[in-house]
Amino acid sequence: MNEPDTNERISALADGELEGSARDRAMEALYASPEQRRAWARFHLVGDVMRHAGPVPGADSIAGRVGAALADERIVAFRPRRRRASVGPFAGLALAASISAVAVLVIHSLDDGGGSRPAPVADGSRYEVAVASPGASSRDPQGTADRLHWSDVAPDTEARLNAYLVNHSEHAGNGVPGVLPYVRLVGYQSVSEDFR
Amino acid sequence: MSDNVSDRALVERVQRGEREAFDLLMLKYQHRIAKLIARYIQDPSEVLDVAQEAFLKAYRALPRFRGESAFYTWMYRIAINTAKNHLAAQARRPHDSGIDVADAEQFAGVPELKEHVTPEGLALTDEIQQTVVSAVEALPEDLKVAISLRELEGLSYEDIARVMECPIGTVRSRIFRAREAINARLEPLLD
Repeated sequence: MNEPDTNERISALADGELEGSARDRAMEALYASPEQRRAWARFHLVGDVMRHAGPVPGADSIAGRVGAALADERIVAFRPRRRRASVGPFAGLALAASISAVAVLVIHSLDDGGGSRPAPVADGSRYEVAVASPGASSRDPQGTADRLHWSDVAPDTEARLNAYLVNHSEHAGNGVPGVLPYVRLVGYQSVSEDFR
Repeated sequence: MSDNVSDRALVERVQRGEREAFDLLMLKYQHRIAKLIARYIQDPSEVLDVAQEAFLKAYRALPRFRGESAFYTWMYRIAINTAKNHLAAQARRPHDSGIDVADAEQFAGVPELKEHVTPEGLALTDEIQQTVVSAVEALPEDLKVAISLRELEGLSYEDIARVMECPIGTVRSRIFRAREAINARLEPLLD
């Protein structure tokens, strides 16, 4: 497309007489060419003057001034909005599951002084989880150990767990941040009675 | 169709994040907005500052612009309010005429609206005005009628084609050639 053709399209665009892809092409041409933007501005100025609505001395500079002022904020000003993913029912489900998980952990921690049932695993051994609660504080590790209640553990295992917990308390925060700050979870592996 | 169609397309582009489209709206309306503000504010440099502020406000508010009115009507209100706020901030009473957009555009005969321009600005404005008038007068008759029907009467190309009994493509070409001829006479004054 040569320039006279383009300028004629811009003239038609100024009159709102282009539509669809022709309008898009004319706008893209205006974006790309300072000369054609100048023609665009002049075409409108001619109309304004014919209608006794212009010009104002210095008004040619307004667009440039505003453009400079906007240069710094363009990144954030008009970022197209993204549609939020449609997660409504799943979000509710996930929230319910999270609350349920927390509730189960809390109930277990409060049950029977903090003890929990061993969880059988398929390899013939089992992981046993002992929960120490409450009072497991890193500020008083020895006192904590004195108040522990372990369930179904042999004396030597209990001693190892106590030592581990005391050492751990000296170097770790208070439990799971934000969820169960007063609960310690300690796991150990033991051989199942069935496979001894 | 009208130029509101182009405005709406440009506004949609701005709302999609194309700031270049806002540049085109400013290039289109900067003189009209400055002219409007000049009816409220005397100092020419303040006119330009207030016009700049008005366009900045419009740009920031465009995401909320629903297109319930024409872009220029919306922009007009922003410009008037910005001018009034500017005067209020300076403890000066605005010339609140309470007139609408169309009346303000054709302010001749409205005593509340009077332009405030410097002698130099007035001289340039007069010279530009005279240049355009003489350029239009010098146009061949078919170009003069076409551009006048478009700019003064606001007719669409289709209506002009009907009046002039010629194809729409011819109307488009005549209007373009008229603008080019007038623009050629204006260039030395504006550069």
